[in-house]
Amino acid sequence: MNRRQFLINLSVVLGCSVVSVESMADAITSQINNNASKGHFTETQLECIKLIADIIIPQTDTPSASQAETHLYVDYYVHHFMTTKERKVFVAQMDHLISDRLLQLSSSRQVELVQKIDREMYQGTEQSTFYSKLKQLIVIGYYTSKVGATQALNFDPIPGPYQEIKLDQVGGVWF
Amino acid sequence: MDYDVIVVGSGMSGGIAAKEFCEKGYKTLVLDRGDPIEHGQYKTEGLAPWQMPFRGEVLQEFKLQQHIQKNIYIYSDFTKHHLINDLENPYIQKQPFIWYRSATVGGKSLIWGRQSYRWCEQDFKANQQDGYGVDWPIRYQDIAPWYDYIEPYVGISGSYENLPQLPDGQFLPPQPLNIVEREMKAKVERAFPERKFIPARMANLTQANKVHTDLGRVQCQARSECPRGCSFGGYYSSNSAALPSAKKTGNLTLIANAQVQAVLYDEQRQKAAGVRYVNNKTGESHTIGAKVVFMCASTLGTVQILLNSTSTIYPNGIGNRHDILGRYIMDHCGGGGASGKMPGYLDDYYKGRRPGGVYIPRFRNLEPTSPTTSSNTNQPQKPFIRGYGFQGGANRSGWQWAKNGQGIGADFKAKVGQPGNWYFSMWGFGEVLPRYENRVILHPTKTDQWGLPLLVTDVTYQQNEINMVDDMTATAVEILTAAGLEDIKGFEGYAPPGGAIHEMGGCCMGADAKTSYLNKWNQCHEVANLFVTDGAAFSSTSCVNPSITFMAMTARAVDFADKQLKVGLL
Repeated sequence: MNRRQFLINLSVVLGCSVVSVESMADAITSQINNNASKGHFTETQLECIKLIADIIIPQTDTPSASQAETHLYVDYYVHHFMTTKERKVFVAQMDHLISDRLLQLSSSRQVELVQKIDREMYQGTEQSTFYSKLKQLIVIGYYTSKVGATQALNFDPIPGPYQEIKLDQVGGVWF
Repeated sequence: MDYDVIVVGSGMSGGIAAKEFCEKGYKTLVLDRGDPIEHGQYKTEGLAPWQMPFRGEVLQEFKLQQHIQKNIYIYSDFTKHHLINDLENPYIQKQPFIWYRSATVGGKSLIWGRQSYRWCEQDFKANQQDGYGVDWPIRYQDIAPWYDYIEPYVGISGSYENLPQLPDGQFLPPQPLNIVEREMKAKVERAFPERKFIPARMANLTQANKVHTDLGRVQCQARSECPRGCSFGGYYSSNSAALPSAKKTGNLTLIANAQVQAVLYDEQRQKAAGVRYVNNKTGESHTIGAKVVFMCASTLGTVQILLNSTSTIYPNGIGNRHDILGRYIMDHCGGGGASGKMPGYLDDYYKGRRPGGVYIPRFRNLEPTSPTTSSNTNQPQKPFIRGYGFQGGANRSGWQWAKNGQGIGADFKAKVGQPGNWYFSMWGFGEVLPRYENRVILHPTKTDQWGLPLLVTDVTYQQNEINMVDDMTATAVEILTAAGLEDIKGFEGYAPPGGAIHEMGGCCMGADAKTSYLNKWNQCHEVANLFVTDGAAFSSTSCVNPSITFMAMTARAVDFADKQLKVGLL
């Protein structure tokens, strides 16, 4: 069920018009949308985030991380959520990766590099706080985006009463 | 008199007090410290994560303002405005106490866990049997008709089990156990016949009856977003039910942002005269009179106000002639439990986010059920007295593992897109012993910005609670092993008092005016028109979630007060 349908249902329960419920929701979200465009990364930095995001979550039968604008969420989060100290560390580590010419490598080398960091992050000795935080932000940014939640997962805001089903009736994981 | 009745607080107890008095025709004033909130105008309800700036994560600046509230299990960007600002509402922890407090009208009924269980005969006899605390002046039979009365109105789902330690009630259809829980139930009950594995009893409507639809409440939609507020009225709150019921009568006056500071005492009439409150937005002070005052301001909130209600006759708080007010503060101890993986069932799934899972009622130190049982009632089966119950549930893991999980690329994405294994978690809630020395007092000099003296908490757990929590952990592991789970991990939980958000005591009920604050009708021994019907009135805690008992007790006390008013005794 989409958001509009949710609002229609809600308005039935509330006994008020869709417009008033929708404007209520819009009032809350408009501020977010205004802020979302205010990023602070340089183009190179954004390029780096976008690259890693799409290596972790590429386009398949569903959109990629960058198609869901995950890199913009990371930008927004880093500049509006992180403390100054957290941001400094994060950006310094990212710049270090960029200065290692990550962006100039061939695409297969880029994948290999991210693959290596990822494997060592969870199995070995890699201690990159940058990578673990970035991966978290990419995963959260993608799967909680409208594109990610509704296309790569099964998003159901008003499921109705709990019921048992077989997995193939939905085909994948719920949001 | 300005009003017939003043009810202080509009939460779990205050809502019911307001409804009952209004429906009996009394002009009722409800004062609540919190901000006004309209049912149906919940500002984060229905919002998707992408409509929140940080997808639900709370900015550090808010967490600093809510440095205690941020630890509550429901805390997120979707719910934080339903909890107070700790910096503006300080208290002093002489001993650690986590005090979770609501910021809105409706109190914690808006954000509660909704598990609803009757107390049993043994719960009301416990203090008498083992000597801790004050013997309850009532027994199960006194409260049972009031459970019967209030449950259909609130709407409690549950299965009929015929267990002496967990009496059945007037239930809506139970929530279903899922396939993994049914399998576990069979195995656990075979291995341990005394450990029953039953559907959690929830104040979520599995079916909306006329009493609910008349208020605009409909069946629970399994969104699992209850603490944001629910315009469907899918779960019970004062906001969705009791306050609208009260309002319908035309007898309700509700004032928000009204911080009651004291109950006023009329020395000539030897009765409560009314209350003094401060508008916490404007700072204006008001005095209002009424024939009867009902204190429903939450356990510690009620005690704080009563301790501050001083007069020449009662310099230590209204009705507090024997230094009993503020003593026997309790909560549930808990957190001991375990989790594990159920292999298989990978074709099975569910639709909807069920509001509750499984309950395992108390099985430790139960009274013998038949006279032929040889064991002595007073002989504990374990190195602790009293008992605990478990809450839990089985679910398949979702996409969230990926935040800290290995993998990249199309394979990773495919794996995230499928549900993982089934996992079951369970954790205990245990009965805390009432102890005279576990108390709250007022700070002699420090006050909040509106002049109310700060509360000082001095409550600790002792060996009985520690032994009980240890047993929860070991027993949860034992149960999950019997249920056939793998990768079982026991966990300990020694949360400080307050952590279970089931705080009770401070104005205990009892037969003797020297050792208790309230009589068997929740009426102050010393001041006949002053009643306390929230958790503060409780002389012990049972091990089950208390809210439905707050409501039943409140309805019972209103019925008594009504009869007293009619014959001119108040």
